[in-house]
Formats: sequence, structure tokens, C-alpha cells
Amino acid sequence: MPRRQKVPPFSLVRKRIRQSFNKLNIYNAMTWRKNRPFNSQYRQLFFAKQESRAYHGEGLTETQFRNVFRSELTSVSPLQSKAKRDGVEQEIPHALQTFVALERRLDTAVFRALFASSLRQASQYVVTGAVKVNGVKISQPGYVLRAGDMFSVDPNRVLEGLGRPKPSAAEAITQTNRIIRKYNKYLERCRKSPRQMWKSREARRKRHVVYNSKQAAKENRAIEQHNKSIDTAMKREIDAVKPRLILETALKGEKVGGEKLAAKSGALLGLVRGHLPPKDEAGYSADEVRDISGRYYDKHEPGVAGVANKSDVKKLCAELVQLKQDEIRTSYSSRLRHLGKAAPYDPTWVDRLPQPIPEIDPETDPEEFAKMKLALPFSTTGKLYGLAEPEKRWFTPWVPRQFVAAMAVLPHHLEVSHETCHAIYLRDPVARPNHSEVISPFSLDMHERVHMWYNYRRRKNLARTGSA
Amino acid sequence: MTVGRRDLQKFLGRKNFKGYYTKNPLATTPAYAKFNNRSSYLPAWPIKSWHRQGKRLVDWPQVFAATNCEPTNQPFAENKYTRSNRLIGADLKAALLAELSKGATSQQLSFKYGIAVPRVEAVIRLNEVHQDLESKNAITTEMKKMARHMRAMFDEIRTDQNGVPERPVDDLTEIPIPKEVQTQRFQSIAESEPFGPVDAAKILGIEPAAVTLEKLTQEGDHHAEGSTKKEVSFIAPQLEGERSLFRFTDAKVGNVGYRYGASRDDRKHARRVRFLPNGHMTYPLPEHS
Repeated sequence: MPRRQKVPPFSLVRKRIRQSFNKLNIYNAMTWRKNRPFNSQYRQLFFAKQESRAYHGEGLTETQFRNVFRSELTSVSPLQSKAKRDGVEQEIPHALQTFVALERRLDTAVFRALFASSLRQASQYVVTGAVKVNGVKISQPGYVLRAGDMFSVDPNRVLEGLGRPKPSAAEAITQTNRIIRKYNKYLERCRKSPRQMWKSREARRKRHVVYNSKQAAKENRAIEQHNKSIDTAMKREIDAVKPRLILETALKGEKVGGEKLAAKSGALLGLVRGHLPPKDEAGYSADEVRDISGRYYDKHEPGVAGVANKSDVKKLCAELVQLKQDEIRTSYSSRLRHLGKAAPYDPTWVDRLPQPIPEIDPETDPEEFAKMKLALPFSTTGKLYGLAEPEKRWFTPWVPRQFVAAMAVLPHHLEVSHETCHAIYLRDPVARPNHSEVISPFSLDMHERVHMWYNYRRRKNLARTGSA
Repeated sequence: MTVGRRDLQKFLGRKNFKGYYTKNPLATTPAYAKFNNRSSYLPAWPIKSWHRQGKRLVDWPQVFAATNCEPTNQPFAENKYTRSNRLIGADLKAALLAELSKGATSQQLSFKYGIAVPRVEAVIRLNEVHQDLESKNAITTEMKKMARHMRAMFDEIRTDQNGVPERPVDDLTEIPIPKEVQTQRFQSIAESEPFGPVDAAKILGIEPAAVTLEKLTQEGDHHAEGSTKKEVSFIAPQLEGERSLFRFTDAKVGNVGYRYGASRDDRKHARRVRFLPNGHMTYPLPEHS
């Protein structure tokens, strides 16, 4: 088969936009400029053709493209368009249908469905038998899809194409050592100024997206548990505070509570003592205390006169109970931990940090790494960076390739399921008022020029040429 | 180092210690970004004339400093006609499939949710595949993670409180514009003669748009749009003395039989191909093509 001459795909001088998620291509697409000085109509047409053909069907020779090119530009229109109702005429971008024949190709559809990171890769998938159409393996990238065709790609190839590139063993060692060096420096800083590093660690955790979602939820659960236990202890203590107990504590000469309580308990003691025989500084004995409190709180026998100031003492005791309970509440509330608040500084945290990790010797046999378990505290897999599962063809654990989102377009003519790596070709991409389903980075006027170019050079006997 | 390469390095920014480009906003996948389900396309960071430093160099930090850019579904600045599609979200898909299990047809679903019939049918077919693979435990955690990342790059169809899309997703009254109307046709008629779209359709030899739309929305195979041609044939009356009946069928010169001297499809150049049911490509003989 004739092959197109190999050209550097991402030349920074030519700045051709390609069907690719390569970072160089993103740069070229971003800095690409249409306005160039033209001195003839031929140059305008040729420029338009040259630039757009680098994107549309870059693997096809001019002859191959002319074989599939159709000069008719088809479109759809709503029965009564909104534009007509509103009185605004919307243009149908007919010229964007110039490359519609290429969108029917299997390799283009695989790329458009975002199963490969470039058109070339999509072609390779087809050629190497990773693509099936309606359950049948097809190995021709130019296979023409029809409406309703379901195609699928081997999930392993999709993961490879859309995932971060797998590092070689040497690269993985270099990268791991870089991370180890960085971690060792961090350990050193932590031991040098622990309080400052604790603060920055807490701040970093707050900023971290993953931490905020998973780790923070875990921490919040722990906080809730802690608060619950504090609450239970507080309630138990509050329930234990009884007026009689307060009176007995005061009589024993023990401290009832804080400053406020001390003043009131003094008043209580004065009130009680006024009706009792005077005592020395040592206070009352335990039996006497029980006896005195009994006078106020036990039911006295009928016929025996009670203490005269009973109601006053009881009232004062009730006030003291209230104050004591408030004091307990205040003391416990300071021990409660609040959601989203940083954990209190723990001076022993530095002691729990590991010792500096020795770097990996680059001379070690790479095959040994598959067996050995590295003691890396920051790695859940304990393997070299990016090689958690070395038998797989992508960076493990899987992470998306960078720069994919910048040029990833969800097509209108395909329905894609990435979970199953299957997609359905709904119809040939169409042009409708103010919208074209053919995905292209180039403007309408450039497509008009391209159409002029190929319409002049089109094959006239189309009935007998081209693929079926 | 060339000027272009230096500019490229400025564009990419420095890699962090794990090898990621963290300074470039285009490098990040939106699953990690602040706005989930929002595309981040090139037109969000336009290069203005004051960003350019000479012929080749661009002040990239200035370009990427633009923070007031709205998320757009137009991936390329030059082409306003190309737009990214919107995903059918998990809830909408579940609603579709739930109604399907209650016996709704794809046409009824299409009408209710404003999604074109082929797309509804595709969602149903892909769900069957999903269920099949899931029953075989063929969908791995990595595939799920990949799907989550890919879906996070696109906007979803927004639904109201009833679970129906806020705006119709597809225009269900769309019909293909016939080839006949793309060229000019002149017909002289009297000034007093009424002339409407149906009359125009008659002159052009095409059916009225309403009829086409009705055909398209009828149940059945929607994929073969205009591909099936009705074969017109008739049996000629037998004349006296004739021993056979003649049947005449419409045919186009070049499509049937051979013309003497006509080239056959045995050249390597632009050869017609056919795929067998097992997926093998063959070059059919002219009589089979």
C-alpha cells in the first residue's frame, strides 16, 4: 500500500495541528495562527488544504483521500427552525462536511470515541487486532462504519492509550530516588522545627482534595466519636451532682467548685452552722455530716420538729447545684473537638516519623524489584514509582495522561461507554444550522477553500471507485 | 535551544518531583480540578497581542493568569461550529432504562426526553453490553476509574426536578436536506397562482418535509436513511408473435452489466473492497460489487 511520507508530526516550526493529545500538539494548536500573508489565490487554497489535511486523514495520501472524497455537501435542517421563528437566519456550515468521509473510517471513530490518544495510535489498535466491529475483528483502519455499528476496543489498550506512559525500570528508579531524597529532606526539616512543620502539615492536609474528601471524612468520624464519649462522661457527672452531696461536701470543708461556688458554699455553711452547735476548725466528722444533711433532706419522723431554716438551705443548695453543673459543662466543652478544626499539637509526632530512607542503587538488577517490597512510607504499593504492577503496559496504579482534556471533544455522532470500551456509530456526522458534527479546529472559510481545492480535483467516475 | 523550544518549555512549565506539569492549566484532568464535569478547552486562555513577546515568544504566565474565563464547550477558537456534546448522566440514564423496563418504546422515550431515537437505542444497547460484562466480572476497577476520569471532562445534560432535560437535547424535527434543493431551479408561474412548499416539492420531485419526518419517526430501522431505493419494474404486454414476457427494471448505466471497453475494478488504484462476515477484506469481482 502506498504510505504517506513520514514527516515530523509535531514540528515546532511547521505547527501543524494533529489528531492527538500530545503536549506538543496542544502547544502547536494553541499558538497556531491562520493569518499569514498570501500573494495568490492558489497559495490560499494550498495553505488551507495543507493545514487541514495534516489534521484530517494525515495518514492518507492525496490519491487515497481523493478516492473517498465526495463533493456533495449534505446537511440537516429542523422542520421549523428556532432561528426562523426568531427571525435570525443561522448559517449551515456546509463546507465543514468536506472531510465527512474520513469520519466514517474506523480508526477516526476510535479516536473520536476517546479510546486512543492519537489517530496514529487508533490506527495501530485496528491493525493489531484490538478493535472489533459488531463483535468481529476488523484490521483495516479504513473500514467504513455504517449507522448503528457497534465497535469496541480491548480495554487494556484503552487504559494504555489514555493512561500516563509507563516508565522504564531506570526511569522509575530515578523517579523513586527523587521522591526519597525529597522525603528525607522533609524528615530532616520536621526534626529541626517540629511545631512549624506540624502547622504546615495541617494546612497542607486541608488544601489537599483527596484528604478533604476521604481522609477528612475519616477524621470527622473520629471527632464525632470523641465528642460522643465526652458528652456521655459530662452527662454522667452532671447527673451525679445532687443538693445533698453539695451540702455534705461543704460541711466536710472540701472545695465545692470554682470561685463563684466557693462564695456561695461559704454562705451555705454559715446558714447551716447558725442552727448547729459550734465546731472547731477541723470541721465535722463523716457521721456528723450524714446526720446534719439528713436533718435537711431525710423525711423526719412525725411529731419531731424540723430545722427552722430548711427551705433557705435547700434553695441555696439548688442554686449551688445549678452553678456546679454549669461549671462542669464549661470544663467539658473546652475538651470537645470541632469539625474542620486542626488537631491539637502533639509534640511526640516527630518521634513517630521513620528514619531517613536509603536511596535505591541504580545498578540493581531491575528484575529484582518485582520481588522486593520497598519500605516507602508514602507508597501504598511498596513498589517503584509507576511500576506497582510491572506486567501491565501502563503507569500503575492507573492515572490519566496529562493534556487529554484540552482537546478531548465528545462527539455528537457517537455514543460512547468508557466503562465497557464500547461505542456506537449513530450516523454520519451532519451539518445543521450553526453547528457541525464534524470535529475540526479550522474555520469555515478554510474548509470552503479546501472544498474548492478538492472539488476541482475530485474523481468524476465515483460510481466505480472508492471502498464499498 | 531554539526559540520555539524555549517557548514550549515556558508553556509547559516546570515538572514537579513526581513528573507532573503542575503550572500548566491545560495539563490537569478535570477530575482533579475544582470544577468537575466542566471542559477546559484552549479558547479559555486566549493569546492576546500584548501577550506576545516578539515573533515566537509568548508570556505564558500572563496568558494562564486569566481567571475570569468561563467554562466553554467550544474546543477550538477558530471554529465556532464545533462543539462538544453533553453526556447522558447516570440519573437520566437510569430514568430511561427504568421506563424501558416498564414497557416504553424508544420512540416514546425519545419524545419524552427530547433525545434522538438512535441515541436512546444506543444507550439501551450499551447498557446491555455493560450488564453482560459486569455479570462476567470483566469491568475492572481501573476501567471504572478511567471512565470516571473521562466522564469528568464533559458537561452533563442538566435535568429539572422531574428528571427531564431542561432543554431538548436534540431537535426531533430534523430532516436531511434533499439534494434537489441545493441547486437552483426556475419555474415560471402566473402571478395569481398560489405556490407553497408542497407545490415546490412536487416540482422538485421530492416528498414534502412533513412526510419525510413522519417516515423517520416511525418505528423500525432508523439507520437506513434513504439507502433503500424502491426498484421500479414492469412487465411489458406480450405482443402478438412474441414467445416471451419482457420485464423492464430501472437501471443506471454503469451500475449494471458491462459496457464494452469500460474499465473493470481490477486495478490496484482505488479498488472497491468488501468485508466478509468474518471480518476479512476482499476485492470483489465486478459482477458482485
